[in-house]
Amino acid sequence: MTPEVISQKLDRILPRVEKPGRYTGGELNEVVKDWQQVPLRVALGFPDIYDLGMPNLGLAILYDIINKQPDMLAERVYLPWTDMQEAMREAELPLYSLESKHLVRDFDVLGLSLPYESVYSNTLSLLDLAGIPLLTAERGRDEAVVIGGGHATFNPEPMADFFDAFVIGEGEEVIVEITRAVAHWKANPDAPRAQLHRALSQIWGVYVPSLYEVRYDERDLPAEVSALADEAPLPVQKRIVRKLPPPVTDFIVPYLGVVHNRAAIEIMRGCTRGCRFCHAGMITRPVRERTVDEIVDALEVALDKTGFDEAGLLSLSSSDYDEVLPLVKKVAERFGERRLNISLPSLRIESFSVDLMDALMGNSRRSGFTLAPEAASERMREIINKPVSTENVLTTAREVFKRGWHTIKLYFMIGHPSETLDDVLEICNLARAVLAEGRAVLGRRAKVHVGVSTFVPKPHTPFQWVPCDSIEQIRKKQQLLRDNLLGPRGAGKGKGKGKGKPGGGGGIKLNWNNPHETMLEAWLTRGDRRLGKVILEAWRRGVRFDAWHEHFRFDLWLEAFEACGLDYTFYTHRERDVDEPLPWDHIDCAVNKSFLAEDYRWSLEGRTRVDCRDKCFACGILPKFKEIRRQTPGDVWECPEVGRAAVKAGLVDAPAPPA
Amino acid sequence: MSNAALIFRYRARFTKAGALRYTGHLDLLRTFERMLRRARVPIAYTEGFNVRPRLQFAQALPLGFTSSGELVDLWIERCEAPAALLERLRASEPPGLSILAVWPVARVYKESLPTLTRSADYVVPLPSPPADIISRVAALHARERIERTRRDKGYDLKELLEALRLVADDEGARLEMRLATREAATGRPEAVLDELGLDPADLRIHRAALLLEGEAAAREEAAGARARA
Repeated sequence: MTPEVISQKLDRILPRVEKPGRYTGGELNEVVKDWQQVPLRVALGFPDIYDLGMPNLGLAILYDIINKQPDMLAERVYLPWTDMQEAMREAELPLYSLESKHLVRDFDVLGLSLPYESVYSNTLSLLDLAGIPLLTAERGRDEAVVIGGGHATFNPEPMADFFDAFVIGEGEEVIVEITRAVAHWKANPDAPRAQLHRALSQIWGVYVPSLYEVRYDERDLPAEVSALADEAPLPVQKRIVRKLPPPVTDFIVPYLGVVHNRAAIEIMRGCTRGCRFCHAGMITRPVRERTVDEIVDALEVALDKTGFDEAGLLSLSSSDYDEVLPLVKKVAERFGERRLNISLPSLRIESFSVDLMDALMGNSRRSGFTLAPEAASERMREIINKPVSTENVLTTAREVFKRGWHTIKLYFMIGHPSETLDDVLEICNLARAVLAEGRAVLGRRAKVHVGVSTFVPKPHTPFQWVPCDSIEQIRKKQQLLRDNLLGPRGAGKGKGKGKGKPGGGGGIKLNWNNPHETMLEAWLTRGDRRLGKVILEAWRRGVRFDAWHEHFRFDLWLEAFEACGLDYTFYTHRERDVDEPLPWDHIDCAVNKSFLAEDYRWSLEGRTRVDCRDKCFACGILPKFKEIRRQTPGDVWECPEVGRAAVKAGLVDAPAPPA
Repeated sequence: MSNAALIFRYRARFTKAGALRYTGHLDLLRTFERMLRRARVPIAYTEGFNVRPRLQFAQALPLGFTSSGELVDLWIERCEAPAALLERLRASEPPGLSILAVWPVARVYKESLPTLTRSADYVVPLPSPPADIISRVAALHARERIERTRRDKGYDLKELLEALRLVADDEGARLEMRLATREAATGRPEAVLDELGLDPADLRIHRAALLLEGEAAAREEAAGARARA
């Protein structure tokens, strides 16, 4: 099907669908290369709608990198919303790329971002709409090579059946290596797909699931993972870049409003805090920072090229960025006149954070200030290794209200290990104490929004062995929160949020998650390879857009589990033994399992760790990447420099690096 | 702090084509704001809680239509030579948007652009016109009233249809029509096509011009001439 035919079909379809701007392409800064002149073509996709996929920074980075290669092109593809999917099926129009309007299946590579688990069933919808066989085993030589990347792929097993290969870790360098390997394979018309698979497995950071076999023991545990090809590495070590490459500045500017309409610049990658629940904090190590000048200069170019009125200075923990104050001052000085809305997420709970936001915002309107204690009692915060005193939370809140913010958003999780109903009640007490601080300053204008999500234990974290709360436990805790914070009037609402009138005065809003959606995340994130058939079965039964409340079908998922003879609670509620084999053991995120186990034990003992910028705890990163660290001297990395001193201290002597 | 004395009003004529034709009114506002930011033109903002850029379009263009005659008023916190402003905007246009002309609107003129807008010219190419299209157009001309209902209210399309002609030349066959766009009296080209027995979904509708109330139009022509000089 030619671009002309596709465009003609679109002319008839687009006037009839909701938000047609999602499906046209043609935005400012998109890159359209001459299809005929470029031998290597990559479709980059996000398995959800345009509105969510467009602001994805990872895909923007890869788009930029691929399109800078003279012999490659990258074009975008997103999952159309249900009305458009229907219209496309009716018009017999398969999924096409936004730039040049070529069919996705005519590309050499389809790269898909899997940042979280609730896009798994969408991934099947996307492949299906593209006309690409869902199962890797059923793909012929001419079918696009399907590659997955993103944080969720650190446990690739549940999606193993559907991908030719996964990128474990950072994509900036590996994407080009993968594409070249595909080119090399295509040059030989007799080479079967399996040959490409073997070649891909030789690239650092690439996991080719079809080259591994999993044997389950009598306890249904993945007792042994063996490589089916001699050259396939075991374990597969994650990929990192030595130093963050220059930030993207030429962001595509959508015509319609999407979830984040902004220029996003990563100021730092990785986190040294060591919160035990945090997946990103474990898998993105080591911490690498960009310089203030690089960030500010890139932001200026990005603003001039896009015209965005919002900028995001992104990292997992802004307060920990070494030069955060100089950065904020420089941003305020350079862009103060431009009426920008600049976000600096994930600030520590301390009054210094209020100073930072104050300097950053200048005279602009102050809406909500976010504080994320994650747990309400000091005991609980020690267990999760986010130690901050309640006194400190309240002092910070007071400062926030004094400096012109009327609303504080407080983020908590329920379901942390060893949590009791008393710990849950502490959330209510802390929320009310914060509101009291606000009322002392602002009276009735002070508001507190409490967001309570449910903790899902994640692979490669110290809590990877912990059971997730059952639906009943979650319901009980949420009911307690509603009864206590919202009173009898608000408590009647069962849909995820409610407004309450504590003490008859209002001022508190509460948000919570649907426990069924939590279960989906919980079984997928720590699932094994057998879940592939559950995902396929659920999708065949009609599961669509799991991340969207109105579409999520828990009942269909349960039917799929039953049809496959599996029990979801095996994945969600079972307490794992620290010695038991885990489905992602053959994926090496460079943080040692022994370190995670030790940290888990420490949590049970209530022991905390300080920021590892202050003291290296030998998590495994340095010994595994010591050569790279040596090539990257100075404070670009926050891990200690590798030298005599480090060896002496036993930091780089630990387990031997893989060959 | 904004100061009314330091705000200057300009009017621009622009085209809307390509992917931009699927961009609704609010998104077009945002598209303009971003273009002005890229051009480093200091757009004025409304005051109050919900701050928005000060921009006003003559009339929203329905989704899917293209246009070569859209009009917008922009309020800028700096006095600019129209030619220089035009040049800077042109260098910052997104695909599908092209600024054709910019001219100042003197402070003595208080009327807003939508209230000045009188009628609109549309062109609808007919790649494969029905054999009897001439008689269909003639029949429509001959009718005294064209009763239709829209949103449960009856109206006479004939009153809103100021001109309709069928043209066939080197560029092919097309319909050209002028419809009223006054407040509460706006004719829709799809309605005309429907009366002619043509399915609007099969055709591309293009707005060629927006016509302002006579005096304003004349005044602008003069201003435009001065700006070009």
